[in-house]
Amino acid sequence: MYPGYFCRHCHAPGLEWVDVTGRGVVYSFTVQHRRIEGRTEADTILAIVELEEGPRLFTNLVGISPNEVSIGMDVVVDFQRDKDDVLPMFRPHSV
Amino acid sequence: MAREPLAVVAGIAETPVGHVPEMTAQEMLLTSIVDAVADAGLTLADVDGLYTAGTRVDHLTTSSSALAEALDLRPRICLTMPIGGMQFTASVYQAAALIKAGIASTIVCACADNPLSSMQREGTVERFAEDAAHPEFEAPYGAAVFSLYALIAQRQMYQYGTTEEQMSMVSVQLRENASRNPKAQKRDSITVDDVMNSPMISTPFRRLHCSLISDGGGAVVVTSADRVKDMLKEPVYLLGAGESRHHLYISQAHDLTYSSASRSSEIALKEAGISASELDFACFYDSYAMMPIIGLEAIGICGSGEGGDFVEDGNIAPDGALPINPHGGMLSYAHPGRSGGWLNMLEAIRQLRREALGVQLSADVGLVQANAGVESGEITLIFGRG
Repeated sequence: MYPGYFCRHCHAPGLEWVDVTGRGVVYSFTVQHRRIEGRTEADTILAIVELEEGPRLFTNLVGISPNEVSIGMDVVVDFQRDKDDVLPMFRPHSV
Repeated sequence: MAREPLAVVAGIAETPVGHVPEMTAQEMLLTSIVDAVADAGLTLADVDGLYTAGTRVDHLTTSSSALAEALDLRPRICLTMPIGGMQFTASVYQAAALIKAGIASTIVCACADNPLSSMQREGTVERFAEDAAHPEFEAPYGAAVFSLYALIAQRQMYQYGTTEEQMSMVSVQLRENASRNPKAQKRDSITVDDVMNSPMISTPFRRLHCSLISDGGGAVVVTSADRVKDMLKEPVYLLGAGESRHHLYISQAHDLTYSSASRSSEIALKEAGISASELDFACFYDSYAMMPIIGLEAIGICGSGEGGDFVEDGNIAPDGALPINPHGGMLSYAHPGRSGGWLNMLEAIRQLRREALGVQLSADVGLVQANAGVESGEITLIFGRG
């Protein structure tokens, strides 16, 4: 999920920021083989990660070879600088 | 017919498809509208509604307002419906409802797009990368649209054991269908090995699992069943329609293997008064080879996770239990941007009229499925002969 005006499930307003552990599992992933000019390098790993707390995030996996990724593997957040932004990405995490 | 139809398709038209640099999208639209009305045995004066989809490039000249001006139409309903890949099913669904309500009598729904000529292959890939991901929470990670669909395919394979070979068999069968169609963009036969040795695009999709980039479009004339006596061609009836939404952006899907087509097809089949097993064929939105497999499961012709086996057992071939996309679909016939699914619907109508250009099925009732976004919402239409 991403920040919104109210809860998608109970429609209550007043959502608050809460801390999470940063740990989760890979729900699905794909290795985008081709380089896209001005956007991504070849073999970028795109993933949807399910946090321990439940919400899912779209992200990149880093610190792992594309052929070693599997659905269900444990990952932990790894904040990466991307131009002017800092993006939450995920890397392998042994439980 | 078991039930009173929602509406009737009186006329259709389709432009040249594939690489068509000699026509602009507006020229395709104007030609299609005029030709479809003539095919129906009507005149433009009979048309009181116009739906179009707009295009990515020539959006100023392809809106419903621009086309109404160019044809000097004075429609009571005139709407550009920019809802991605399912505009064609949505516009026919809305047209049928307005006609049923007595608000309009004859509505033309049209769509054409020319990404191959206007943006070329690379430009189209880059443009599509910007469209489908959440601008703040998905797009910064760099996914192209094929990667968003690849996330669905990967999960389907993980969760149900659907194989790359089974997915490749969809590409092979649709190319086989296209090889018998003189108008198809790709007609050279391919094998499962060819598909599985084609360049990797985004795991598990290889190039031959991905739909084409094409130019083309078409139009349909929707009117009420009481106009049948005036028609030149055999009428094709809209027997049922259903819509369902799920999410907009892929990271918000509750279950990547769930398709809203299960709900939209349930509504449409119930309205038509038939079950999935009574369908003679289906035209699925085959943007990627995994999508018809998920579609087969969604409409209930087989169980969840059984779509791959259903394909492997030969059931989607023209002589199978449920032939799909007999013209070759978006994977091999043509995929002209926003009007990609249009050609699937036009094929369904040609099949029921016995006017197929290639494979001609002996079919009385068919299903047309479309989705928008990344499996975000679905519309099902059921068409039948009188």
